[in-house]
Amino acid sequence: MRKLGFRVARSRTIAALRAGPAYILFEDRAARESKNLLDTGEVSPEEVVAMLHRCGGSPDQYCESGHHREPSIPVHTFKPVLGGTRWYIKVYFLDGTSDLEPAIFISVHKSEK
Amino acid sequence: MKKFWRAGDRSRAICEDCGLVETRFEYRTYPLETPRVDVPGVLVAVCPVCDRIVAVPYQSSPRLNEARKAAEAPLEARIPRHLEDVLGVVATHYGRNDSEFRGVILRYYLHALGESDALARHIRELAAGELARGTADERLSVKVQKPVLTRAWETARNAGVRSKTDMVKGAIIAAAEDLDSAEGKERRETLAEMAASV
Repeated sequence: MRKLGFRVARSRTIAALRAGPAYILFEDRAARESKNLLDTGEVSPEEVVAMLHRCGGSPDQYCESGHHREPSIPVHTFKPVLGGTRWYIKVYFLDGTSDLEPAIFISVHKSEK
Repeated sequence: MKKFWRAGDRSRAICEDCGLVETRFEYRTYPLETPRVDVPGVLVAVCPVCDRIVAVPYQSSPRLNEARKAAEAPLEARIPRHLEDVLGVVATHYGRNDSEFRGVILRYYLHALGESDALARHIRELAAGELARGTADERLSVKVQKPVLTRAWETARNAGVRSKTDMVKGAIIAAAEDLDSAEGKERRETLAEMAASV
C-alpha cells in the first residue's frame, strides 16, 4: 500500500471538497443515512473542510489503512474533536498521485455514544 | 476542470464484488435504505462487470435528499399555549419569527436530542418542570424526517421521557434555555447559521 500520510491526505481531501461536485463521491454502503452526513446534506463540504482544519496528525486523530476490498488503496480516517464531539471522516483516493482528484467518502459522522 | 458528471462519463471505483473497476455513470433507480424508498433518475457510478451501483456523486445528493424529505412523518402534540409563545421568542431571537423557522428549530432540537443522551436527559427534566405545565390548549404540528423522529424518540424514551408531547415541550424549553446558556453555545451558533440560510 502506497501511503500518503496525514498532511498530503488532508490537503487532497480539502482540495477535492473545494473543487466542486465532480470531486466528491460517496461509496455505496449500508447505513448511508446515519454514517454519511455529507451525503444526506446534514453536513456541508465547507463544514467538513473546517473539521479537517481542526484535525491533527496524531494517532488518536488520524490513521491510514488499506481498503477492506482493495488493500492497495489507502483509506484515510480523520477523527477531529469539535465541541467535545469526535467525528469520523473516512475517505480514499484511487490515484493518489495527483494534487486534485475525486475524493470517495465512506463515512462522515459523529462518534456513537 | 470538470464540474459535474454526466451519463456516459467514466471513472473508477471499488466494487464490493469485483474490486477496482472502471465505472460508467448512468441514471438508475436508487433504493434508499432509510426511508425505504426507490428514487428514479439518480446519476450513479455502475460496475461494468456485475452491474451493481458502486458510487454516488455528490450532485445526486439533492435528489436523494428530496426523496428522504418526502418521507417525513407528522409529529403532532397538544401543548400549553404559552410554550407556543416561548417558541416564538426563540425564533425572534434568531431574527426569524415565521412558522417555517419555528419548524426548523423543533426539527433541529429533535435531531440534536437523537444524537445526545445528555440533552435527552435534560429535556426529560425540563418537560417535568414548572414551565411545561398548563392546559394543553394549543395544537402543534411539524413534519420531521422519519429516521430523525425515530432516533429522537428512541433516545428520549431511553432517557425516561414519557411521551412525544413531553419530548416536544422539553425541546421548546431547551431551545429557550440555550439562548443564554454556556451549554447551548454550539446549538445557538448552528441555529443562527440556519436562520441566515434557510
